[in-house]
Amino acid sequence: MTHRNDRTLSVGALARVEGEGAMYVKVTGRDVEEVRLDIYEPPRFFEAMLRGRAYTEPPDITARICGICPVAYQMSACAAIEDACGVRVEGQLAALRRLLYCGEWIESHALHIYLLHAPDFLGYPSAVAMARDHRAIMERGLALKKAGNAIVELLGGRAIHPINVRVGGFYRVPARAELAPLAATLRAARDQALATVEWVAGFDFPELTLEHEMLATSVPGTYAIERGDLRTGGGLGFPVAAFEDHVVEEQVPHSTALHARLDGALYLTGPLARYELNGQWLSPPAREAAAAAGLGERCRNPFRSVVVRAVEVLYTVDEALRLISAYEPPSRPYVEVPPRAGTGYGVTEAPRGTLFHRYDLAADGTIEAAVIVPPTSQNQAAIEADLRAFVQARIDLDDESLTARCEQAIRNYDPCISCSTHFLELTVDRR
Amino acid sequence: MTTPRARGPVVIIGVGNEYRRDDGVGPRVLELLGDPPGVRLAVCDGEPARLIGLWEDAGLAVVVDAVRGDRPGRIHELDLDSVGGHHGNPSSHALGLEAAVELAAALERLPGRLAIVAVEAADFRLGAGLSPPVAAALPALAARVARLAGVSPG
Repeated sequence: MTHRNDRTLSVGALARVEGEGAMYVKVTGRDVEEVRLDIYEPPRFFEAMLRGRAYTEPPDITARICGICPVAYQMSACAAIEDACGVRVEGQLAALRRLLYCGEWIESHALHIYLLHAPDFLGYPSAVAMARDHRAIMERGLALKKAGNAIVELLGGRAIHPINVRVGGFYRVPARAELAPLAATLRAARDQALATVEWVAGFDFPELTLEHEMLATSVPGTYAIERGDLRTGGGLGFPVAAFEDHVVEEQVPHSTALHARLDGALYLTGPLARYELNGQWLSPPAREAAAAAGLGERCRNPFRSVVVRAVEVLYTVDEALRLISAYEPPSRPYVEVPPRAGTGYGVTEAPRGTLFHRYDLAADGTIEAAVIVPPTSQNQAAIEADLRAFVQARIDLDDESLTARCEQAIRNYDPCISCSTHFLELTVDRR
Repeated sequence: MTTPRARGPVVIIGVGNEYRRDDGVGPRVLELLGDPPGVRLAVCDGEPARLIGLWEDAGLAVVVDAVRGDRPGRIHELDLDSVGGHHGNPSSHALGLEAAVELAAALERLPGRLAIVAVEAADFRLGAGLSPPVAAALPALAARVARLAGVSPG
């Protein structure tokens, strides 16, 4: 007689400002029947709120969507609005935007690596427990994160919800001398970043191989961050204006959330996609560090995304130093962006993946429609598919171990909800 | 744990997000306090590394945050001894104040003295504006924070 064994792993309500979510895994006998990730979607609220507002407001307003990646929201908003108005921001203003964005990457990745993901790999229940045993390592992580903060505070005005960014550029740009202390901080951060790559490369990585399509922002010759068009792992390239032709959000059974598909396929955005598609344009030191960490030309194990994030920290520290050394203050802190009727599109690489904005503007600049497609909702379908395979391969683990492994696996994608240290609540239903 | 140490600046930190209704109570209190002389005011999303950065050099840190509870508007005053080590997290920020306090303790980066003023919230949904009971508690909350920080309300 077969003993029927139903297990249900459900994720309780999450209390988190940046997003709330829940995860549900149902196992019947030895088969994973259902995996569902419910993610609370703040952008819907912000899209509605933006309608009727002035075209100058989205950088400020959308920055409030996420305390961890406000710069990403600002940069995608600016790119889309400037596109609608037919203005391109170039030269040192564009370089300052990239520098600001480097700060956010350093900050966000350091937080994710040290406070969220490393404790999983090293078998600690929390960052606090890890800090008690590995104080020097945690100090290094916080120092690295602080270097990112310093960039965001100097250019953005303050570290969360930066207020110095505006459509067309900045309210105020720094003098060269103001960047000098930042360069000193970043030179120290460079060693910390390299040590981080070496450290995470030594973790044990569970086996899991992704076959998904990949999507990343692309600017040939550059590791794209603050602007670009789109490119896929299959070799397809398309302009940002065609994003909504290729990425379609669909209703799926068992979920209230929409699932994004890229030309009908499951796909992933974020560090693994960027590394695969743009890795050739990383700086030589970052490429060397990646090779020494065993990454190869591409990386399809999502657990190794922690290594890619560490390489991206090293890259953005280097890139920030390069941008600072080449900096000449622009004659004006912003370019004029006169409003006009039209639609504009913007895409940038948030630390956790591609972030798309579209705005429809009236002739006076009033926003008639706003569309925001964040990386976490794009990745949702792939995360669910990966977890399904992951759980199926570990079906014999006890509930506690399985839950811990699922938490670790979800953090591979650095979803907004990953800030919650524990979000799997296990309920066992055996029949 | 609340041993005062060498004098340092006083910082008042409002934790929260103004677009999550009652979660915005911390930042709102800061607005009410105006610009008191000799005191640093900071809004924070509650992320532990940022909180630690804001208070590590302070002689006194007063943190105001929204918490979950069954009596919206009720005000609690906590100190180091009453935060941390709980199984459940009272803060509205899952990786938030409690983790920050514990992490700071492990790394010896607590302020000289830490006072936490928490108000029970009714509504953490997306949207602007406080719920009536939390809005009604604002004056008392601001007065409490001001008294703890040694300033007069603005």
